[in-house]
Parts: sequence; structure tokens; C-alpha cells
Amino acid sequence: MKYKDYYAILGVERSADAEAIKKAYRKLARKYHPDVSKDPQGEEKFKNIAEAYQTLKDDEKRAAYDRLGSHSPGEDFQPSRDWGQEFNSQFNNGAASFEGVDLSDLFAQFARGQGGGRATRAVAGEDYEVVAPISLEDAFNGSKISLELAMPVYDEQGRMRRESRSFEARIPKGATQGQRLRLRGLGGKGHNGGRDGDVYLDIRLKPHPLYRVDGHDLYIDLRLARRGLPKPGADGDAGDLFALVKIVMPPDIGEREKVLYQEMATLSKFNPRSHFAGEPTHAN
Amino acid sequence: MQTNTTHAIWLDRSHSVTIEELVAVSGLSEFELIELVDAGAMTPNDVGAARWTFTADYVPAVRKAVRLREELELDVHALVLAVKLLAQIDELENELATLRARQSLFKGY
Repeated sequence: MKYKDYYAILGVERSADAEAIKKAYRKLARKYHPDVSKDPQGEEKFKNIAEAYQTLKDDEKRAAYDRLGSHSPGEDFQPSRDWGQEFNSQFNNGAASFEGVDLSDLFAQFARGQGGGRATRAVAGEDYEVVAPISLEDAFNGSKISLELAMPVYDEQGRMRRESRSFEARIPKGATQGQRLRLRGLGGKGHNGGRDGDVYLDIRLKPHPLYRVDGHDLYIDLRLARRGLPKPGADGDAGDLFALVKIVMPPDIGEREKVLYQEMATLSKFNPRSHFAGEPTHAN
Repeated sequence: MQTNTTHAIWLDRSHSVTIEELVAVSGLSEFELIELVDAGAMTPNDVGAARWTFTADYVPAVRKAVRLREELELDVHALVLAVKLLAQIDELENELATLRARQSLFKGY
């Protein structure tokens, strides 16, 4: 497993008392908490800060962490045989090997193993928050997205490991910017009768070259060149008209009209939106 | 690969959840949810109903409140204030998005 220096993450000395650790955590949490921070790296930083604090604020976990010794951050290491014998029942459900166990997961299991032996209380599966970027066309038609999540999996000894799990989720038609969707039961598996976790999707619309989006409303600019006020002294020249257009369609279109519309669409090479970036060259 | 098409639940103002569902997905107790309502941070669909229901957009909001409570170690008063301020930020960001969408791209002409 990769070593993480929890003291360095919180910016405190190894000898820091509980109050200093709490103070350092609160200061960093206020700065990097993803719900209040605008720092693009805030979520990752906060994850490490929270992981460090969850271990160092608990006297027993901190003692066990300290007994792992000091390593360089990111260094691959395994807990010693002595460490395993002393703490195995709390931290690894009595399993002999730490192969494939992540440091954060190891300490996260403490509560489950606390008191020795295998935990029997119900533990809910993990929930996942996933940002799902979709195109405007996907929002219009509905779509499917592929998700890959590192899910906790428990072996026969109750040890937790993370395994990559892929699945597809349907984004229903009409889900637009900021829409939240819940995929019930697709998160981590519950343990000892606990409920399965959920996946929460946060829909984000990718920018569109033509349309701007506000909720379920679309905006597009229509510029009518030289349809504004005449310019003095300029022969026939005029300003432009920027129009807010209400499009009124005939309530009934006859078969003959449909044929003529389709014929015109086929014949005409005129593209009234050619000035928009990214617009295809033909008006169809 | 597992395909899931049936579990997508809309979490918006056109759908509702019961207070029991909110408790189940948020980790807050019913008592804490009632405190948030009493403090004006949340409003049930019908405050006079025997069992409260809420618009489903409260699900992500309440989950965020729980994260704030646990990860910033807030007491209930600070939590109420944080929830109100976050709701105001959401509202302002929505208004900003609306104004940006309505802002003509032709302003540079």
C-alpha cells in the first residue's frame, strides 16, 4: 500500500496534540471543502485532509498509524508482522495479508472491526456523487453514459478491497444543466443487511456552438444585416437589426405544402446561420 | 457490463420525497430535519400535513448539509446558516446563468 503522511497533510508536527490537529483540520476544511471552495483541486485536497483527520483524531487509530513508522509519501510499504499481530483484529478483520489493501480503506475499516472479531452491525453501502457531462443533443433526446467506479468489495474474511465496476446509466430526456438524478442501489453493496448505496448524477451541459441554455429554455441570436436605421451619407447602408423572434407556424400544413417545403430544403444551398461558428455549411 | 434504465429518480421540484426517504438517503434524523424546517432552512410541501413530504431537490441539498455538518463539524445553528447561505448562492448562480444565456453574443459587433 502507498504511504500517506497524515501529519504533513494537516501541516502539524507528529507530536501535535488533539486540539492542534482539530484546529489544523478545521482551517484546511473551511478552505478546501468542495461545497464551499472554488479551488479546482479543492475536492482532491479535501479528500486527503479528511482522510488524515479521520485517523489522527481517533486515539487508537492514531496510535496504530504512528506504529506504522515514518515513510516517504507515496512509498510502497506493508505493515510489519508485529503491527499485524497487534492491530489485525481491529483493522483487517483478522486477515493475515494486507496485500491489495489501501491505507485509507484499512483505517476506514477500524469501526467495523472495533472490539475484535468480525463486525455484525449493518453498514450501508457507499454513495457516489458523479458529474455527468452531456451534450445539448443528449439532453434533447435522452442518452446513455458509461460510468466506472471503484467499488468496495468484501471477501470471505470481511476484508474490503476496491474493484473497478462499469455500468451504463440512462440519462432521461429533458435532464438539463444542474439536474440531479438518483440511481438507487447502484452504489456500494451494503454489509450485514445494510442498504445498498446509491449513485447521484449531477448533469452538466457541454457548451453548444449555437444555443445558450437556461433551464429548459434555449437562446439563439438572430441578426438581420442592414435592417436597422439608415446611416447618414451612406448610400443604402444601414445598421443591423438584432431580433427577438417569435416563430409562428401555420396550425395546419397540407400535403402539398409539406412537399414544397421538403423540395425547397433539398434545392436551397442558402444557410441563414452560416455566420455561427460550427454550423454545417448546408441549411438542412 | 450492467445496464440500468429503471432506477433513475428525478431530484427536482416536480417530484416529491417523504420525510422517511429524506432520512434514509441523508443520514440526518427526523428530529434534525424538523429543526431545519423550524429554522426556515427547508419548507415542506404542506406544513399542515400529517406526514411531511418535500420537493425532491431537497435530497441533494440535505445530503450537502450532512456533509457540511460532519466534515466541517458544524453545530445545528451553524448548519442552518450554512444551508441558507448555500441556497442563496445556488439562487444567485441560477440567476447569473439565466442572464448569461439571455445576453446577446452580438454585443461585440
